[in-house]
Amino acid sequence: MIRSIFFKEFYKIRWFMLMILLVNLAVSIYVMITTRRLFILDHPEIVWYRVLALEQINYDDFKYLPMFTGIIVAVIQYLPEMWQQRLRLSLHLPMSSWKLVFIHVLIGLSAFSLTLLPDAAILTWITGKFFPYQALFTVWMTALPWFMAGGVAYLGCTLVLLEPNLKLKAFNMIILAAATGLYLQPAVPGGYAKIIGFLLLPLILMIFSVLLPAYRFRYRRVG
Amino acid sequence: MTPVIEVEHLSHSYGKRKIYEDLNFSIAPGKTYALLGKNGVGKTTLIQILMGFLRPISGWCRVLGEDSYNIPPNTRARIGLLFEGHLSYEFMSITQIETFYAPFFPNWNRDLYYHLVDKLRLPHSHLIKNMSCGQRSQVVLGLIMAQQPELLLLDDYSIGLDAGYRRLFLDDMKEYLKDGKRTVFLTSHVIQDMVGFVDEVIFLERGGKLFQTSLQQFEDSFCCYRLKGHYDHNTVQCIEAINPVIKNIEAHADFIDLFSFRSLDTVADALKDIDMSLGNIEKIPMTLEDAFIGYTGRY
Repeated sequence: MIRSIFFKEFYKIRWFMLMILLVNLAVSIYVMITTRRLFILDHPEIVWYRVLALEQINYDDFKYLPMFTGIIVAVIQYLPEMWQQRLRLSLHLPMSSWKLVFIHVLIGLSAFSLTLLPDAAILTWITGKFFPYQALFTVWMTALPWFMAGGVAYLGCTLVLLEPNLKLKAFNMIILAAATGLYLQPAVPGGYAKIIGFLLLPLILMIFSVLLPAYRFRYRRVG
Repeated sequence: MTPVIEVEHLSHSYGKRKIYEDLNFSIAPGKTYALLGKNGVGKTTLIQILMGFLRPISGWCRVLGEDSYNIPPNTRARIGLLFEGHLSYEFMSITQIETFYAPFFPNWNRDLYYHLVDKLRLPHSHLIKNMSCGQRSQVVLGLIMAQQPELLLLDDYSIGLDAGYRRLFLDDMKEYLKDGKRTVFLTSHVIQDMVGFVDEVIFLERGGKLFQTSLQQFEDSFCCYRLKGHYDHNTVQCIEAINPVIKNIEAHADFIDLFSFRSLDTVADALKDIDMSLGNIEKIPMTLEDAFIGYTGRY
């Protein structure tokens, strides 16, 4: 049954996911090219000084990409379900509703994570190639909150799309903006390192929070 | 015999707008029921409640012995739902959608599904979004039947279908239901389709007034009596006062139609009792659609 839901979601989102993957790949290649260009136009020690001492970021094109990716993945996954309330087709299946919703969310988060793989892989590769290995930790502590922002954006957008009540939908948009903004505050490279573990908490809580609008969608009335 | 659907003291409203209050009826197994009524009386609301997608304000609604808004998964497997507009996952093909649904239902009958969809003479790789309304309805019907449900809830099965596909839908349903083991609860605006298909009718009127009877009983007992001549508004109002003998009155330019469950003599006597010196009254034959409009009114 889980396999059926997986294939349903796969048939629904596969072509869009391919496009998103290609866009992420294109941005990753662009970052790789611009990083290489830094070393062509200047002496390596100057580039290292600017990046490692002056804390300039050569990969900030990645910053908002996971957030937009997360939002788009949620839209392509749940908008077709909201059109004429097609989610009712799945909610009637002989499977508990919370399990069904969690499987959908898990598939969406997995698809989102897959699109970020080229970003993560290329970022790791170019940092390892052009900078000392110590820079890898800083780069990961800088980029990880951006990737988490994408996960939160996916879950926040899911909250918005599943909510049947317009006023609560608007409220959920505020939650989406606030929660995502938490991960995208201006900071020095690696500035989030000390709180990276705590940043997992909103992400995990939002996975469970999706149940409430799904419940309201199912029954149209709580209590 | 345990009812398949039991509705007790059901009340629902949207904000301040009351849809119904203290609605009560039950559905016996093995029969086909039609919920009929004018637009806006709450038919879709009731179907949504039965389907478990709307929790009523108060009262009880049990489907196969379970609260309608809390039906466990194994009971949901025994209920086939047809959503208004023949809703389906249109991004899938004929084969893909069957592959999606099959693992959920232990009694899934794959051959029955393909027996129905092969009538469309489309390749199995054909996407549902590229089908017409009628073709889509055949796929959705195939999915419901393949599930082998005990109870079928069909919300406006006829919407968007031309006469041919409606006839195909009904013929396939009649064939499927002939063993008498399944119960159907449907809504439709095509009243004539009910003839020869439905066993019982439930009329739902504004405010929640409900009348349940067999279709045969309704057709046999509900009559139209015509008074020829021109009658003014005061006369019509006087006749309306002899409720409940007269269920409904339709005033036309040259005649008045009186709709009643009573005999011609009873209606004529009731008119005499209010000193109405009216012309000849005669019984007019009606189709089921005429009777439905006579019962519910034109507006």
